[in-house]
Amino acid sequence: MIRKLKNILTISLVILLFGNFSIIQAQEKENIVNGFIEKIELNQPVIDIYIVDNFGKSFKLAISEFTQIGIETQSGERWVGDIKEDPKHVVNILEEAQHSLEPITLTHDGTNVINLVSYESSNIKNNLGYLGASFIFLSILFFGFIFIINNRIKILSRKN
Amino acid sequence: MFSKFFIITTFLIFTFMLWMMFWWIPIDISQGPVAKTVFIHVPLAWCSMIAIILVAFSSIYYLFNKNIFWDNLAQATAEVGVMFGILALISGIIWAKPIWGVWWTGEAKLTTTLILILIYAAYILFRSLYTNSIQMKKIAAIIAIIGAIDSPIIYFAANLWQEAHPVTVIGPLSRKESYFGADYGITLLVSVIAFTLLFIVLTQLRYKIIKIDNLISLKDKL
Repeated sequence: MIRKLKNILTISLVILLFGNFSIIQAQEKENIVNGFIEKIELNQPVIDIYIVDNFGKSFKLAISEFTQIGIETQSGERWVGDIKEDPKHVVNILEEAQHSLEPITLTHDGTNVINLVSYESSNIKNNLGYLGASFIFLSILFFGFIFIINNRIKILSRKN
Repeated sequence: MFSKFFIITTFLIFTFMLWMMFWWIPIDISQGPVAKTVFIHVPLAWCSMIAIILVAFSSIYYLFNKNIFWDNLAQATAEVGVMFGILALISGIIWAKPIWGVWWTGEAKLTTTLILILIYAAYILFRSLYTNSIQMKKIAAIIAIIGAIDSPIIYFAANLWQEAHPVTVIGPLSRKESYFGADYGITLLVSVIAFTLLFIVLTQLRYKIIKIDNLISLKDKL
């Protein structure tokens, strides 16, 4: 009985999840650049940004009204927005990031920047790795425990 | 053999999900690393909802045909479901603090979820306090069915009373303008599968324990 129910659950779960797969939007092909801002120029309606990546390669890209920006300001707050409302304010924030040598990550399509974010500092990325490793370690312990319990239950079932 | 295979498969998918969550997907543009909580919070809430539906259906079946299988299943599912529900609330609280600035708000979605968990905690408490009689099982089944009325309210709450909690992004009632990016969507899909398999494994284990427990008490009576 429970096996039948388990099969029904698994099949309906697969149908439900893969049936909803269309909600996942196809992502455009994006190029990623990690580096530092060299220069910022306001050329209405776009902002030209010059980036030098971690290998010393330079890029000139345009921040358009469709670019999403997420930058850590010097006060420690995160500014999220675009250039639609106040491009001069965005230029100031980016210049602040340039002068403080803030590492940034951006995705672009060759000419326009799609997303531009403060590189979440290498520390956070490293910490996320450690956090992930500790989660995996804990899951090994947890599933090991489940495995042992499962075997004990089997032995008990046979005895009874 | 089947359950061993099931546990190993769950473990592998779970580990794969953790790899995707911590290493594969990029950091969210607006929320930063804390956005990764979505891969814990949403699957936990999803599993607790499955649990409620299962408990309600099992209880209805039990009331109709008095088959002990359905009562055992309702009990096992309720216990695991409450655990998943509490974890969903805790992960939500951890997520809310950096994003909303508060640990908890008295909005509809959160309050109805808390009420549901309290109803099912009362259901478990009721079962443990009273002797294993048919009358107790019937009353427990009725409590479970009444408690399940709260589940559609929880699902609709974010859309009906638009407050701090985001509206439904996935499912039949999701807004067309809200969607996940491909990488976040795929990771969420894998995490939902991983947590659902974990839910099945835990429920199955609890069900077996209840069955053995019933057999032992039956032997004692004889």
